[in-house]
Amino acid sequence: MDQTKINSQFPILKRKVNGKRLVYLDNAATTQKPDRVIDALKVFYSRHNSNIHRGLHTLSVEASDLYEGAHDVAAEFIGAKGREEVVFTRNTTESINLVANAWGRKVLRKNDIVVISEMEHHSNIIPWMILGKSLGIRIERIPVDNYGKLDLDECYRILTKNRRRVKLLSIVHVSNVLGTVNPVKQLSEMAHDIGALFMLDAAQSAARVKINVEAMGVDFLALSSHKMYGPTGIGVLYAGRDLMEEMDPWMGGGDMVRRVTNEEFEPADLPWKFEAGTPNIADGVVYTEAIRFIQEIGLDSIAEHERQLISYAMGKLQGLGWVKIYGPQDLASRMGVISFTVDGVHPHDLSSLLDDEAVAIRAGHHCAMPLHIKLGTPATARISFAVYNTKEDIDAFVEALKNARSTFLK
Amino acid sequence: MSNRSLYKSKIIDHYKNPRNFKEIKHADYKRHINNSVCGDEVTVYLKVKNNVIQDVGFQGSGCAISLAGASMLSEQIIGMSIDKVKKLDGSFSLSLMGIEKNSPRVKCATLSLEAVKRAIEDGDDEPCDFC
Repeated sequence: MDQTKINSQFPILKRKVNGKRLVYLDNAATTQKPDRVIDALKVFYSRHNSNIHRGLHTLSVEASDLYEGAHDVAAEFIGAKGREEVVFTRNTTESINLVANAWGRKVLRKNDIVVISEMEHHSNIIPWMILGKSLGIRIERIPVDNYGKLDLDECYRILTKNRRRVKLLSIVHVSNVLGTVNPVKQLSEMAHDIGALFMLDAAQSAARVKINVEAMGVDFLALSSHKMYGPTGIGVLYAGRDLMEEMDPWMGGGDMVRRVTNEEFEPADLPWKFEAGTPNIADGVVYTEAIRFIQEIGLDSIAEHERQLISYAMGKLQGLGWVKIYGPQDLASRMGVISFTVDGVHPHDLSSLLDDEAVAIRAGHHCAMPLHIKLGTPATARISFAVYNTKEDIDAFVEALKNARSTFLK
Repeated sequence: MSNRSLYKSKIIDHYKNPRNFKEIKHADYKRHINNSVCGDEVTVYLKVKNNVIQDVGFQGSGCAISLAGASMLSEQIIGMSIDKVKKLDGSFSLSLMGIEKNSPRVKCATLSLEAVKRAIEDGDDEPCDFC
């Protein structure tokens, strides 16, 4: 991996913040974008901009081909069979909400159970809570053990005890707080053994783990383009063709319909029946550039690079003696993020003080308040990595952290 | 302005040694609020006699700016009339702490005043997330 060549593709890395070199360690919130993604947006709007599916003029044909073709690229990236199995949404959150509404409201009955875990992002909690209220379904949670991992024995117990009631197991692939990598294959097999479906929240994993929905046994998968070097405003929902056909549209409007009379409508083909209204055409097209960027470097190379950074950062932080790290201590079980607290300094204050040194980190509950209740702290600070981060970034971060702490030792 | 300048020694002192950090058992007004963005939370307790604040207590967890802000505010409003407290706005907390109006930390600095004003105006009706 040629670090210089990769980093030269990210114009924002040349930016100064407070007169200092930007050290961007908030990649779990969103990654920065390479030139080819930024340029592709300009190319689309400069050359091909038009609405899709509804014009016979040249531009509309071009825009339609590009937008539809982007679904094929997105499908291939996760091992789906084709565009029929990939809906473009706004983000992971909308993808999960689509499943809750299009599948959940059709299939779930009172007292049915959706199983999630204690390490879920709000986006995989609240859609089920909303359904819980209106349909009378229950939510069960797989506990997180003291090592920051899912308690798989308890998962098995919850699933088998309620084998007739559990209809869905919906789990995050890589935790955005703990960095835990969950055993997807094992979880999907447990779900399928009792006849339940399995959904994977791949928001934090898609830019670092090779995903193959068939091999992993995933029934629904949700991800966000903007966490994988692509534009904001595009997410993916994967579902197998049978499930796609079983689900009814959850939003009605233009583009999702084949024929409408005063009495009824006939939905459009897959996947368009789930994309009502003019979609985010430009960003959908541009998302393909982000996928190609990842593919050209290779997910294995990205994962190995980040593993070295996490190993280096964990070593540095543990050496300080006043930093508490959350999540698995063994490097094989974690990816992407390191959440931590510093004795005597609130995470929010850390992030302000680090900003003075142009080090961008996240502080707060990271949209996982129930997990923070479990961890016994209302907030943590978090650094998170991407392909352009370096050991120099971590050194700069650790120096800034020492300075921040010294402010509070006065 | 750098963020470091937020952390004047006075603010660090109030953060480490908060004044009036206590629960008041039979408070006349009580209110818990949190900052949903970062999870900071504060509960304020007010003892009032003849429309004048006799005692203030607060509890909570949060960043240095929000907790020091609560501590510094508590010292200021003891002896103040309810009518006067009602008229205070965020700039009172900001000037108390020497924080600029466009600072990203305005919400932290003014959280406790928000709690005091809501305690007086609406009473204690906010669900508590962490307690």
